[in-house]
Amino acid sequence: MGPLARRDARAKLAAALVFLVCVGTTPAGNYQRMAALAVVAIVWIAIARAGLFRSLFKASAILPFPLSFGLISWWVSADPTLAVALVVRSYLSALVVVLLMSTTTLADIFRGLQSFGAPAVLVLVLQSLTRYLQVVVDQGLRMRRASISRSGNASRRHSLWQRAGGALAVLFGKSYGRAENVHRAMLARGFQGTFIALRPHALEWRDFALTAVAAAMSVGAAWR
Amino acid sequence: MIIEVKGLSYRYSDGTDALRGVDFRMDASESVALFGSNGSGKTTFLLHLAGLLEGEGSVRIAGEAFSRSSAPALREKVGYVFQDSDDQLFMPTVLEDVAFGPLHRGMEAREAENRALELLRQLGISELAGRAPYHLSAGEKKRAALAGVLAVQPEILIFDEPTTFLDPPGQRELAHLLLALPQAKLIATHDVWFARQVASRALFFEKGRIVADGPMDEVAARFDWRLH
Repeated sequence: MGPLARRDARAKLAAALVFLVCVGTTPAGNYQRMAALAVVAIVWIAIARAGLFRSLFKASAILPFPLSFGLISWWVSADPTLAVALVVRSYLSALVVVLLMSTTTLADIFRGLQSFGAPAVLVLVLQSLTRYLQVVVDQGLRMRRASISRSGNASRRHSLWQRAGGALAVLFGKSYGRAENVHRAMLARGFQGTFIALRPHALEWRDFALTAVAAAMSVGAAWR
Repeated sequence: MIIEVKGLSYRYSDGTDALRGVDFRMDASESVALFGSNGSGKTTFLLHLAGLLEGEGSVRIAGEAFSRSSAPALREKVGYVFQDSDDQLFMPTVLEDVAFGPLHRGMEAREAENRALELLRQLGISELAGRAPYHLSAGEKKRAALAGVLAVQPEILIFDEPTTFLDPPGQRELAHLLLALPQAKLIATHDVWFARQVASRALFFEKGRIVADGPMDEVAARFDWRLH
């Protein structure tokens, strides 16, 4: 566990927010400032021991979206500057979100969002969504195992897609049933709409220091 | 009477009549096994007793009828152990999951954690406290789920097919565990040997109705089950 994982989620959320604002306000075409912000992100990934190449790879999952919109923007305006800015901003934002997710549990992030004043309903929806996503993935894996055990071959792409298409409705039907059971289990044990933390974090001076140093680095890089 | 059910009927949204006028009474000192084929209404009946479904008729727990307003308080009296422990274990660690009930019923965090740790110790799974529930074996999950239910100190324990996913040693361990618990128990199961170990009274469900209710041996004899 790296040093960032031990810090309070609120400190990391605040630092990430400052970084995102700096990235978002960097003018298109100011490549020096973008490079400086990239260095800041990489330094924090190294400090967190989150795995540089793994983080860079994970953040690249977002690229198809800004690339598509970037190409449209380039085609419409005939100027690549905006397109490049869109891709770089999106990638740097994704990189810092990957860093946040790899050093903070989802439960802590949700608690942090709530303590920052995010609406309780929104936080509850996000919490339920992640739990239901786990249910869908778990159900999907079960169905995949059942499918492989009966077909004997999971690697043939054609049959895999055929199966996936047919099984999608069943997957969501079954996931809905399981999600309902999870919800019942929560109600049966006293859940009334708000998650309560067993060990709520208390902010320490180290958390404030982390936010201050991270924010200073981001702002310093953005004002070059 | 700890449980009193009168004329309970329930129809699912697809039109299936799961329960048709069920009457049932149970004393606080009893342990009752529920038998019946799949789809006969056992689980639907148990979900009503835990206030997780609302049908026609009345369900009274310790003399108080279930309603929308009374449901949260009455659910405290009923502990429900689901058939699939994966449905029940939803927190990131076993400790947080076991402490979930006490915390959400107003207990202080330190006290809830101590109670959870004590239950994990009693159930012999202290070493699982920091583990993620989905990494446990079926037997460990069942114990963790049971710990989560016992943590709220219910007066009634409901088990929906508790031996599913358990190997024979796991089933024997669970039977010993249940015998040691003082609460009133309802156990839906297909396992006659297990039911015989933990219950003295049996119900038989068929097409949403209770068609047999009596001492385990009598009900078993009526349906020609082998208990030995």
